[in-house]
Amino acid sequence: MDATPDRMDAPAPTHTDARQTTPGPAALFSGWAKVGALGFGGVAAWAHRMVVEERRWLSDREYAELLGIGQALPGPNTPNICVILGLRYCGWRGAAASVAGLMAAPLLTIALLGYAYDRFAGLGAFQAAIAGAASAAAGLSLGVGGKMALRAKFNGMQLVLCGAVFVAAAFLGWPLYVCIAVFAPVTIALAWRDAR
Amino acid sequence: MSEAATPARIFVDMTMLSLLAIGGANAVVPEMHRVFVQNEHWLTSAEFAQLFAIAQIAPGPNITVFSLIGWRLAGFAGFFAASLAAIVPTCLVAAGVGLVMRRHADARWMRALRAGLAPVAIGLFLASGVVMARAADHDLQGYCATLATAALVLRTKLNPLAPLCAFAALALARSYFLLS
Repeated sequence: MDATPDRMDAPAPTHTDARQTTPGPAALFSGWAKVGALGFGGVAAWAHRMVVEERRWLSDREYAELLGIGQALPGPNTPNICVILGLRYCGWRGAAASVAGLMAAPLLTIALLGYAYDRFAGLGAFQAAIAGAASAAAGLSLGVGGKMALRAKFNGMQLVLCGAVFVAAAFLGWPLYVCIAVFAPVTIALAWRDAR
Repeated sequence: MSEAATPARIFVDMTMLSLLAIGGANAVVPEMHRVFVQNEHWLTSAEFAQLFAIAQIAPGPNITVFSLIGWRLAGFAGFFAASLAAIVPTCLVAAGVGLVMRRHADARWMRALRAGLAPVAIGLFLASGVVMARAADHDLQGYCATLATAALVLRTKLNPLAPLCAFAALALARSYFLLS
């Protein structure tokens, strides 16, 4: 649906699309703060929603590409993405604002939970509610993953390989780094062939 | 439990772990268990599982499990050491890679790298949903909550917070009903 128009002349952030916006440090902070605060059951799905659907910093395709880089790098995926994006838009200030935004609410919450750990552990009703939210959070990841797959405009071979990665990681128990080590060379080689 | 769990030791152990976390925080969970439970004897296996569950549920990246374990081991100083170790070294690596990416954004190898990693990324993302569902869903209600949320997210523009809250409330109501 969002056919990326041909490149404009501005060189710095490549792949800009007329519809997209370029955030400043304050917007980076607030966008990632929202992701951090809402990110129940992991932030990856919320990050996609904020960056692509709400703020329109990236297209689906660009987001998928950046996610690939974030996953291949060591460390947590979403903070990696938020550093790279922040750096791209506003340099070091952007990267720092993004990470601070992303981590502020979660670290505060986790400090409170750590403090209250012994009291929380025993509450049956609390655990039941959390379990319900956890089931829904799993569905959120599946839904966002499905959306990304549908919108990424993959060719047939890429779709097959995407499916193979999914099966290997979800049902064959392959660790993530094994999936990357096995599949990424193939997908990158194919992309190299197709890149002009 | 843990005379040896000083903030400095926590920082060193956690930095190693976070730099090993290729593919995300959950990728190092087995290694974390080996380090903190089996090698250092800082936590019992049950404590580790509980702390992990809390971090999964709390908002934020799953990497916050580092901070929670740090808190458990050494109070605020441990929390601080663990949080720094979880975030700063890997963010510096990401920043370095980001700079290289920006410099070579239009090079053929960089475009191939980005385009090539995208299908792998999406396959892994979908798989994480299945792994989460397997951990979270223990009965029909759980499976229904997962499938319904996935369908809503895929088909509608509804804020995902709505199904999350709804299914939390439903599970809460059901537990009251079963207990009384």
